[in-house]
Amino acid sequence: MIIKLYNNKSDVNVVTKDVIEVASFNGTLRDDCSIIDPVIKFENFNRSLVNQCNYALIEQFGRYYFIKDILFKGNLTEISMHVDVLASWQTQLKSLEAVISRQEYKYNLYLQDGYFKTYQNPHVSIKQFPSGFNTQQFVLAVAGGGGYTPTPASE
Amino acid sequence: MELITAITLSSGKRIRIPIFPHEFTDEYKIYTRGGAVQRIYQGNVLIYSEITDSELLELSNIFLGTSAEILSIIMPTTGGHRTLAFAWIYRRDLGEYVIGNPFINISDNENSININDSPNWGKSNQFFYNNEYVGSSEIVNYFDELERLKTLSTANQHSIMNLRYSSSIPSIDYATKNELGYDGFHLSTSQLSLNQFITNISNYLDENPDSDIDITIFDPDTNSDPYIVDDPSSIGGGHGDHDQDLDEIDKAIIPALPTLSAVGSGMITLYNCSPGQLNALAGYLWSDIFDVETNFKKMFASPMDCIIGLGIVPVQPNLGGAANVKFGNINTNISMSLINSQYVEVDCGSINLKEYIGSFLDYSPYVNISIYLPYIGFRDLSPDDVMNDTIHVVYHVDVLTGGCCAMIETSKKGLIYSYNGSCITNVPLTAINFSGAIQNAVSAIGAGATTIAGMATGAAPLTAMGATQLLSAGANTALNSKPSVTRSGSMGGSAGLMSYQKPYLVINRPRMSVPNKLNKFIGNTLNVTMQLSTVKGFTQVDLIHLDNIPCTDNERNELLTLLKGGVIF
Repeated sequence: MIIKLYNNKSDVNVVTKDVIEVASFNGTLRDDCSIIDPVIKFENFNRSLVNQCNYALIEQFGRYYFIKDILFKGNLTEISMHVDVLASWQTQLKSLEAVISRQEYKYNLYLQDGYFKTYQNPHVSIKQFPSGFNTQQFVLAVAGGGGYTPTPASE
Repeated sequence: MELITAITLSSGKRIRIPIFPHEFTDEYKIYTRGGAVQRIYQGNVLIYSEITDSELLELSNIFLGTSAEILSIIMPTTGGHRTLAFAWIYRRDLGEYVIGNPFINISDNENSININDSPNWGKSNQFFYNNEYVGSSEIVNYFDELERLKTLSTANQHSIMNLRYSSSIPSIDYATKNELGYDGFHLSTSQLSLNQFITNISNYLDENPDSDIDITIFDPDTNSDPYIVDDPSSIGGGHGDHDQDLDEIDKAIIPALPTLSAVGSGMITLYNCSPGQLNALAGYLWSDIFDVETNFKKMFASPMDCIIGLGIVPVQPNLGGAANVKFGNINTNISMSLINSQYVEVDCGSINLKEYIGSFLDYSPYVNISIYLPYIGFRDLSPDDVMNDTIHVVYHVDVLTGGCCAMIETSKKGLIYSYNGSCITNVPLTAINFSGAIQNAVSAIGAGATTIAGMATGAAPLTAMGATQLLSAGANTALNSKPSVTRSGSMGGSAGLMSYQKPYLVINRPRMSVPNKLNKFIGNTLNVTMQLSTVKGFTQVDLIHLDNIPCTDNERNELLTLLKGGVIF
């Protein structure tokens, strides 16, 4: 089986990792091995590569792996890994539809969002209407008197 | 066919380009989203940093040949909104290349804006103040003025600006607003220009394959709402037929004044009199004409019995000639203006209310709007009712009883608020009248005190309670900690007469705090069903079926956990 070791520059939650290949090994699997958390022993591993390797591809398993730990045992180098599900299944994943709750570039700001914070001092604005009451008049109400009868001129 | 709404330059800065639908009437109806503002983003997050010459050149190539060669850019604000920065302008078609950061200081003087450093601006701009448009006229010589402004350049940009250029109508709009409350930049263009625009974008993409350009177009026949295009899941649920008539508004309008008036009955006469006429009448009432020998007592025990009331109203009654005041069959020979209608309309005018942030934060429960109504007091308006609308206030006043009805209508929803009050100050004519007036005043104060006490001891306002339940953190935190304040008590009668006589709005809006590059870390709300191959950047999944993935059960669970926590495509 072929194991490629990489230097991964991306965060864990990045689907397509930014990786640089550091080394490639072709060997035989001798012990039991988990496909999710494989532990692989290498003989004559160039230990100067240790600082560069943090990611791996096991083509036979069809999966990418994060390197969790590297253990030196005599001339053996034991590398513990955990599967990177995002990178391993990214092709199938991208073919799926999903309800996206948050997105970096597409968004609707009219949906409520608890991540927004506001200052304690709000913006207070005051707007006056153009006009209002601008006079004061006496009104005398008297009983009787005939009220108001429109004259022909005032109709 | 596509319309660009945002461009990410090679440097990573992101420019939003709003284009408004009114320019397109044939094939396309185009909208921009999120408040329709032009801003600079870094990783899609609003930033306050300078755009460089090379970035401007990159932008200008995109706009070459369109009517949008001139760009405006929001600048950082450090000194409130009293400064206006002129940003970077480029016109390749004219061979004019204006780069720099000249700025002019402006100062606000109540409701106007004075341009201190540029006396020529006064008649050649459109200005906004506190989100209100305050003036307009065409600019005389656009480019000369730009060149002149270049000489005002300084090292620090510390304001925001808006600018519009149209080749058909040379004009510049400026807006000075607060840090994020930005609205008003309208990028004018035409269908021809749009086609050129898209050609330029295509070329730009060929040369910059890694550029992130967010392009969207809306077909008016199928997508009248710009936010529906990405949101196929917006319809659904329940058993209703989603009848679109639900969205129609059969507006109620402010009615005409009542046609039947007490003065038309003949049983009562209303006079509009001056203080001098009242003095003359008082002299007449206390003369000896009402001695026991006269016939007056045949009908009334006292001449005061004829006077139904005397009051001061804040409106000019509608008049219909003049007549002598008569008490029964006694003609006083004192002439006064006759009031021909019991009712008077007072139109207080309209105010336009715009969104400030361009997001959910412009609506309840985050925005509080109260209106002061003379003779009524403060009343709350729902931002959902009046935001992005024109508010019109009209009073109907009954000059006989002093009853008034303040009606508030909006241009979109019609008459949606009505409040009643009393706007007459009764003048006591006898001791009984006076004690009654005092009693009324005391009752009014008591009613106001009860209202205030109720507000002070009652539960938290319903709107704030709603926010608590809706959100767990963030914008609502400050909101909920704000006490509710009653701004006035009962404002009827003489209290109203002594108070302010014009209605006004008090608008309390949140100031949003947006960390730099927030979108990169957590994105923004979307709630849309999409294929994951079409998304880029941070993406948080709400719901997904992990079908056709030949992984183990543990891997499936881990995938689900990661997607719900947010992954980066």
